[in-house]
Amino acid sequence: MKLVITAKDDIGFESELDTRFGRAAYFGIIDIEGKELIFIKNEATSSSSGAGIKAAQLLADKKADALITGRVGPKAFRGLEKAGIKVYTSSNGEVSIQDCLTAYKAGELKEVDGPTNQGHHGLK
Amino acid sequence: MKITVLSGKGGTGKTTIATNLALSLENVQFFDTDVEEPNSYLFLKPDFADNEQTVWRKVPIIEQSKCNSCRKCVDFCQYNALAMLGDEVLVYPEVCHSCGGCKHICPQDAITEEKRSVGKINWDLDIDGLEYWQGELTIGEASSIPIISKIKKEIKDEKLVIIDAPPGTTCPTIEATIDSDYAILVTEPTPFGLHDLKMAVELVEDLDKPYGVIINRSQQEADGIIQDYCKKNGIPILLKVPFKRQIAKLYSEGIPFVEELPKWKDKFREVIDNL
Repeated sequence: MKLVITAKDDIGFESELDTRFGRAAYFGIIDIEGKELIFIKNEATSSSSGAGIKAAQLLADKKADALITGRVGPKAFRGLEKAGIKVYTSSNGEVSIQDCLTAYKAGELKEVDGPTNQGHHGLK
Repeated sequence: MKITVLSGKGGTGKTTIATNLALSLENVQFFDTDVEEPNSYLFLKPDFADNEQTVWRKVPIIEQSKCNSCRKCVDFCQYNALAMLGDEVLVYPEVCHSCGGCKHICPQDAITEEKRSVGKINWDLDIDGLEYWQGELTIGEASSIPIISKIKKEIKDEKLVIIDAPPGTTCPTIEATIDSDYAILVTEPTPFGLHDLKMAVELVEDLDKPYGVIINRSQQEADGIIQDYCKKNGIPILLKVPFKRQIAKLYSEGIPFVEELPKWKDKFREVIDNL
């Protein structure tokens, strides 16, 4: 099972969680079974529009099963839902990727069933 | 003659200058192309009655049965309006710029287009002799270009056309400027004002338009920053509107200052006569 956590840098399990999704600096991809962690740079950050959509595409291409991040907008959520990627949000002050992973394994993170905030382009 | 009033920086006084200029002249056709937030109506007070037209643009629809998931459309789209998720191409019409490229590039002919409302145009053909047009973008839409290009089709050559441009120096401002004969760049005597004036100058230079500057909120002790730049670059300063409480107060009440201070009508007329 592949779990993706948004990160501000790519140093390892101690990397700080990036609470943005579409414009997160990195995606930490964790193979839960193999306990392996690899980082990919988020190419969507340079998009002038639709960063969330592109980021969702990136995760779908990596065949991610679940995502942990801070916030997900409506367009990104629509894409992630379509790709069958479950979305969890950090809600208990998790700081690092390790914190998120531990909380996820303990079942402490809540799965969200809709966007956590409005889009940046307006109200739709 | 077609004149566009633009500024680069928002909040410098484009609408103040454009509306007061319009009220000082005869035979004017006024266009508010700041379609994300048109506000000249607050000063010119049009009565639209039921003068309203919807503006449409085309967005793709995917015939999933014809699509073979080749992904060419997704890779082509520079605006991330298409995504290949699961086995289907998902369309995000709100970020689509209606370029039609995906339809062109699809080897399976799986893409057709449908109409989507992006905003509206309202007008009042006679506000005490002034003809008024305004575009308004639907909230959440990414591009105001379809509305600006549509409203410009209403331009009448026999009129003195004044276009109140959107702020910034990106595509919408270019669209509001590209067909004009002259550009008035409104600025304020601050470092920020100068910075964005330079960007506006770059825009009109690229479009090869004749232009001049109006300094709004002018203060003798502050104007140097703009004057020095204009002098150095040979840019004419057409007018200075002083930083005065009376003008600010009238603005806050939605009253164009030329109506209370009629000598300003002469000053605006002179600016146009000397262009």
